Amino acid sequence: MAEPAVELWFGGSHADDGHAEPWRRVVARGNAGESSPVERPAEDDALVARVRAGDGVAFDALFREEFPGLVRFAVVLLQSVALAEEATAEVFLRIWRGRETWEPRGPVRAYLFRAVRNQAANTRRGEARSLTLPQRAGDTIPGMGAPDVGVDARVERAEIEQALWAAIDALPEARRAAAYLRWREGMEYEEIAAITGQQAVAVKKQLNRIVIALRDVLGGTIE
Amino acid sequence: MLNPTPPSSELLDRYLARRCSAAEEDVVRLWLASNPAWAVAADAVGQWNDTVPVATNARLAALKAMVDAERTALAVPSKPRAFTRGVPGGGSRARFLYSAAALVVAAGAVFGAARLFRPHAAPESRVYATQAGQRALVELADGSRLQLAPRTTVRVDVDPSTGARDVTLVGEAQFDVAPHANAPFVVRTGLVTTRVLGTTFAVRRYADDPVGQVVVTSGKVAVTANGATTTLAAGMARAFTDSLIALTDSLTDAAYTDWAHGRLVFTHARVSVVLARLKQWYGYDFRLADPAMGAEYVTTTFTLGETTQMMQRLKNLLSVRMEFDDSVVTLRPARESVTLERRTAPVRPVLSSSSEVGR
Repeated sequence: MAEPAVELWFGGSHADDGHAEPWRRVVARGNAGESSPVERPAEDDALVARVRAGDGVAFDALFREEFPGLVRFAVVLLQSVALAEEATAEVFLRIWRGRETWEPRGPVRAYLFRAVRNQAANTRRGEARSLTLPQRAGDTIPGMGAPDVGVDARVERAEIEQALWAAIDALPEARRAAAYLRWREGMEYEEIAAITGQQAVAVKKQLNRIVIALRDVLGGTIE
Repeated sequence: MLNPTPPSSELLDRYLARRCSAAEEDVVRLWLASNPAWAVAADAVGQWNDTVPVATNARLAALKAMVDAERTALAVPSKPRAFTRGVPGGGSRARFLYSAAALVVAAGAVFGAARLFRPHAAPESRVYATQAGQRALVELADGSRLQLAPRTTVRVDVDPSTGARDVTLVGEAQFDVAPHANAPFVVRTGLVTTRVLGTTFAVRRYADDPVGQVVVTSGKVAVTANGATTTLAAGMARAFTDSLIALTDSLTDAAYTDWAHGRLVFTHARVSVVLARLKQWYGYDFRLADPAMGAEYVTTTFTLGETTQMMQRLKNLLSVRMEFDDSVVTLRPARESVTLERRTAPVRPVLSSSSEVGR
């Protein structure tokens, strides 16, 4: 029997400050290398049932829990915060509009990432590409008035990060997305495959190749 | 000293994804000690896009507003757009352009919407308002242009018989006034009036600040307070209250008009002042975990509209980490040195497979 791969706590109650308690969700993992979709856990079934019944509290909780992470993923694809927010909001709007027949395939989180990825593709087709956001370190910024200790280390770090992000930004979108889902979100190959529509084996190979490609930028010996 | 065993690409991938066993982590960490660039990279990808600000509450509110509007068959705009509106019967016509910030229409609030039109009558009167993080450009029928900074409300009254233009301002705006020989352009801020006959100037006076400023870029303006009038020519600037007009020190033209050109320029400015200005223009409430940092001085430039770039620049400038709680951003001093301390994911699965550990 496969061990649980991810535990994310979801609650279900609505706290007095307006924020919902996080919910618990467990993703059952299939065997490595298989392309079969990850099954939806029982906790997700309860969430889906509540949303389908028009439970605004459940929908709010889902939105607040997942929206920031989904937007940050969409930024990887669209390279625009505004477009990423709009694309992600559109996904949730469609869910709510069609809630009575909402039946996500697999875990809800994977469904949301997949939906955002698809919506991002639609957005890209419909919008002119916005300016690439220099989201990370590397700018030469005049320092503060007081003497600055450690500025050399900071500049060196900024230069490394700049080279890293330039290499990642140069990747095809699918690989960039896989790298983000793997290294920032900590997803398994099967989860990424369910989102990107690839085979888990292919995702694993892609990520290994990205690591090797980064070696050219970061140096070091990798077997 | 032995060189650490190089990890495989697969192991590095698992390490970056925080899916290693403890033994595997130790192997990678040992290797990272000799390859600090990879240590920086591991840290960086673990925080990938963490500085991207996400307006969760605002987007949820907008979504709910849209759903409510659909239910009541009203159209609610979901994203900024430019439009032109013609006013029947002639007279003033204004073109109102939004900034890229998301809009939340507050139904029922007189000044809550970024555009509000009333059927015009003589004298013609229009009210325009921006929220935090928004800018707006208003172009009058006579060619005069008003650029509104965030949190600004203006009422524009035009006398159709004389062409006189009377603007009541709360907030900050830059004016590019078309010449009109017999019809002055007057800006009223509290009890102070600024009268022009064709010029470019900026006026600033927020409701929560008793001190305002006037900066003249071209032409001349006459500023009257408490019965006393001062004439300002191009390149001159003054601070004022309802009873006094005073010459101010270190008041540069760029600092008060740069926003009209898409930039916020800070020259030897206190961090507290910079953060207050950024709050006004981007809508984020920046809070310093170390209050003493507010008294430090910085020199930098931000490009308006580039929110993520602003966040990253601020992060680098102050060497801070950012913690987001919707629109509240807490700035905490970052670590100076690169460490190999592994950032722990919320939950770590335990793998039982016998993965290769550095061939």
